[in-house]
Amino acid sequence: MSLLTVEDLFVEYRHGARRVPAVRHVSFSLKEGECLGVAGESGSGKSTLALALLKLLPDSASLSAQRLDFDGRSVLDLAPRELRALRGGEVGFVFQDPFSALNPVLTVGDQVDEVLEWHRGGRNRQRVLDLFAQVRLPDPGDLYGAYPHQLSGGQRQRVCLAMAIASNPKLLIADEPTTALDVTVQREILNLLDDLRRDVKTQVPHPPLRGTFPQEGKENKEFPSPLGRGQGEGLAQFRRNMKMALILVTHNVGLLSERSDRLAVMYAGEIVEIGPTATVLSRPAHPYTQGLLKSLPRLSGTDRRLPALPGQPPDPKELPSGCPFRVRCPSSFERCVVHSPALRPVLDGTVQAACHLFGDFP
Amino acid sequence: MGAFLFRRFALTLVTLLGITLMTFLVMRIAPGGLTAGTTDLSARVSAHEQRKKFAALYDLDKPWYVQYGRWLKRLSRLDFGRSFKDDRPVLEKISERLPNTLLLNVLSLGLVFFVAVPLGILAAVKQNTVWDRAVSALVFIGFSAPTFWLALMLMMLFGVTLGWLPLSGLHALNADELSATSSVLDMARHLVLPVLISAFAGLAGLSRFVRNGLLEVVRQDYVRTARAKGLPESRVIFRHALRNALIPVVTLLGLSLPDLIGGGFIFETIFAFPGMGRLGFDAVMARDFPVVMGVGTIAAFLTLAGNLLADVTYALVDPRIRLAGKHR
Repeated sequence: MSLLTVEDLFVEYRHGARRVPAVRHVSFSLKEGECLGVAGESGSGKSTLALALLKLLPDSASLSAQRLDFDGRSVLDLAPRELRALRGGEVGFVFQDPFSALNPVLTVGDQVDEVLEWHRGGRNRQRVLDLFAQVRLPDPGDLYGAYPHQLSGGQRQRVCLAMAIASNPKLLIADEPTTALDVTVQREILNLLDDLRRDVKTQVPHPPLRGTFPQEGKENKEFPSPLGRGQGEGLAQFRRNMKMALILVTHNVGLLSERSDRLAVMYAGEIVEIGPTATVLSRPAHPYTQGLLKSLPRLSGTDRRLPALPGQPPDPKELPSGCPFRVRCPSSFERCVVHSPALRPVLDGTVQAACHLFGDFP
Repeated sequence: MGAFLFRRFALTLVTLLGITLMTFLVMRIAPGGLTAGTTDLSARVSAHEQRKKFAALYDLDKPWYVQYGRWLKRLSRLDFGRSFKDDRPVLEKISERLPNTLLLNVLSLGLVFFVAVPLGILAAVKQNTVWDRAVSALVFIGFSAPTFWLALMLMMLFGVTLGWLPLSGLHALNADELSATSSVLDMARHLVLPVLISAFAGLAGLSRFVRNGLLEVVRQDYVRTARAKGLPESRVIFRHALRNALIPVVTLLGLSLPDLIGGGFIFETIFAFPGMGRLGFDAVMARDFPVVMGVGTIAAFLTLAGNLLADVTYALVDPRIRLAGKHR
């Protein structure tokens, strides 16, 4: 079953009187427990997309979509209270910069506990310490009362992870979670993400609390409360399912090769190619994906200069007509100037690419 | 924290010495000299003789550094000397005035704080709405209208035209005959205009400061994190944003302490308010050297102590300063 369905998502930022598109015509879906990698250059709209999924965009952004469904509910139609129950409850977020993502005047334990307070019916110091242990923070017992500035970058990102998984979310959205960290720490954090995905048992049904889904007070028949009657049965029920789904946003395609089930490549606010990670990486269909992969350094490679994609990504204020990639594309032809290509199945049909090279137009 | 306090304290002491030295020297080069107020009016002694006697009495015939040294020596015994004018101890004159100035300014500062902070929050949360614009307009007026002009206008309106409030001073002429309750009431009536007007300008500045600080903080990543946790907006603002936004306000509070103690010279003069500012002003005009030095020193001391207190408070509210060096 599909956990997240996005159809024709559009985000624009207001720049004075102008409207600058950041994400255009984005459609994809994510299955429960699946990991989707989103790759692209800076400014390709991948972070905006990640924030848009739970309407966390700044006020200057406007968001529209044909469909934006999470777990059977339309995110765009949710009441503010229901939306808040999703954020941090069923969907966890990890941001790029652990140095600024934590509040400097609150202790890290307090900040994690706040998630429990809001989504799990109350603060629970022991649970916070368990979470610290789960994200492999050293001496979790001493950490509760520490302030962010007392921790290293890697430790802070672990705290952010603990915060994101505190309420056993069904989906974790990680926006460049390792970009700000040392290379040695990056791998640890990514491995931790993998382990958490396996270990976090998503969405323990819990007794009604502020902003509970779907309707407060109504007994959820499918997942009876583990804290009420039939406790063991309830736990067994939900544990049967789950692996936490993950959307991993990064500009580093290399990170995704071993991790994501599927890979989406973004360019100028659009998804230009999406498909199973292994297929996309071994047989990239879209000329942009091909260029992107060619520019990756390889250990086995010779000492020749890495081929770089010629040119710059287009200025979103001045997008070219037709295909946004055509000005840098080695294979562009007349049609690319006039028509903007839509995503269509290519190759064996598991991959979709937005390129006229695969068109069967007359 | 201990080393920090010690360093700050030592610095404060040096600053205090510097201030007294500056005041001392400035008074020395004031036109007319310290004995200019002595006149030929006495029939028995000439002004020249009078001045010489006066100068000898107060060591004014010695070089300035000897005078300053002796003044410091007396200061170490907390002896500020006696006024040239009425020969009363300086400390006594100051102790009459200081409570009045403190009362006025604590009231006004309290008013500023309790109105400006909510006003600033309102303007920031409702950015670019009617609320924000109204606060901005108020700020604009508060900043641009000169206090003395505003004071005179309001005195005209409430004191003369409407006759609701007394114009000047702190007590009515018949204050001695009033009962305790009506005496307090009388004082309150006298305080309304000075407190309101001295609060107005500060109100404008501080509310703007809070608004901009909050808007700055709201853009920070950790506020986005708080929203991503699913917290309601009120909690995001009051728990996550406001704490950070108010840290600089503590500094501003420390910086406004000189007013609290020194009193506004012009302001107190307009209202004929019996405070430190007017005492200092009158003393300067009359070249009443010991009083000028006394007012200057005590105001400087209390101001520096206040700044020190603000620094300590700053450290208390910001763990990054409080726990500096205590890395894990």
